[in-house]
Amino acid sequence: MAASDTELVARVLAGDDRRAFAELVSRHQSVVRGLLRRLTSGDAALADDLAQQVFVTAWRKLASWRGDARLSTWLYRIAWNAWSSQARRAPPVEPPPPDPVRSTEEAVLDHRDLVRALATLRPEERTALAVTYGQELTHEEAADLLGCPVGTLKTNVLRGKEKLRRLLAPGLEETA
Amino acid sequence: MTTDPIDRLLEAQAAIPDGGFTRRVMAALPPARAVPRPLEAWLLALAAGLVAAVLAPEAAGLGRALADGSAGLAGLALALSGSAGPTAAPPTLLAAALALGVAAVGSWLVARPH
Repeated sequence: MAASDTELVARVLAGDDRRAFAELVSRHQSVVRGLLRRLTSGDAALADDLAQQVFVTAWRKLASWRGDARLSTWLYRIAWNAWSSQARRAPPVEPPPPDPVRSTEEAVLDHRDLVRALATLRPEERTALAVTYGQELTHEEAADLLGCPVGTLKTNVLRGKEKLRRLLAPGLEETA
Repeated sequence: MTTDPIDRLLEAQAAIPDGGFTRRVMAALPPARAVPRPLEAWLLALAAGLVAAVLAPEAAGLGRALADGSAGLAGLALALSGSAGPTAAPPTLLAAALALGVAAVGSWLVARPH
């Protein structure tokens, strides 16, 4: 049976166990990199640089993780802080919006369309969608992570989704 | 299962394969810290006490107590650094170094000719 996150963390703290930490990285890299890719509007290289920074910070501060929250939630918070610092230093360049005119053959949406469409949203709408979908966070946890009321988070999610619906309308019918 | 195509699109986040990412993170970690084992720590503390005793053979009263106390603190800090894990080592080692410094200065002040 695989060791739990708590057991692996205890091994790292007790004896500088790098194999245990590698297991933690391997276990959580996908969701952390996924969140950062959405926050960086699909810039995979920047997202991976930030994700590396997240895990190095986690290694240094592992003793401050209290077992009352999931380790993934704690990692999301470090990822969010890393992204916020990065965005303050170098505001992201917005890519062009997706082409609304598509032929029938091109109409089926793929992940790149979504990434491009997400990049056109306001930052608070994009981050609300990024932390709400695919990250196993409740609305309360997501709002806590972003430091905003739950109502504000939900409003930003709804607005973001409506904009995506308008931007991706031609492909949505084929995808549905 | 949601029927909203936007929900489905947002939830369809494929797992990202590791692709060497874990190895990259492990290579970026700081090197292992040299953490003194408790036995080594106590031996160091003993050595510190001996040094204090040799440096201040004629010392008495407050000066001697200061020197011995500092050596004891150094031993305690070193022992803690050996048992408290990697994250606690630097501050306690620093404390040990400071305590040893105080011991040496205290011994010199007491032992010097008046």
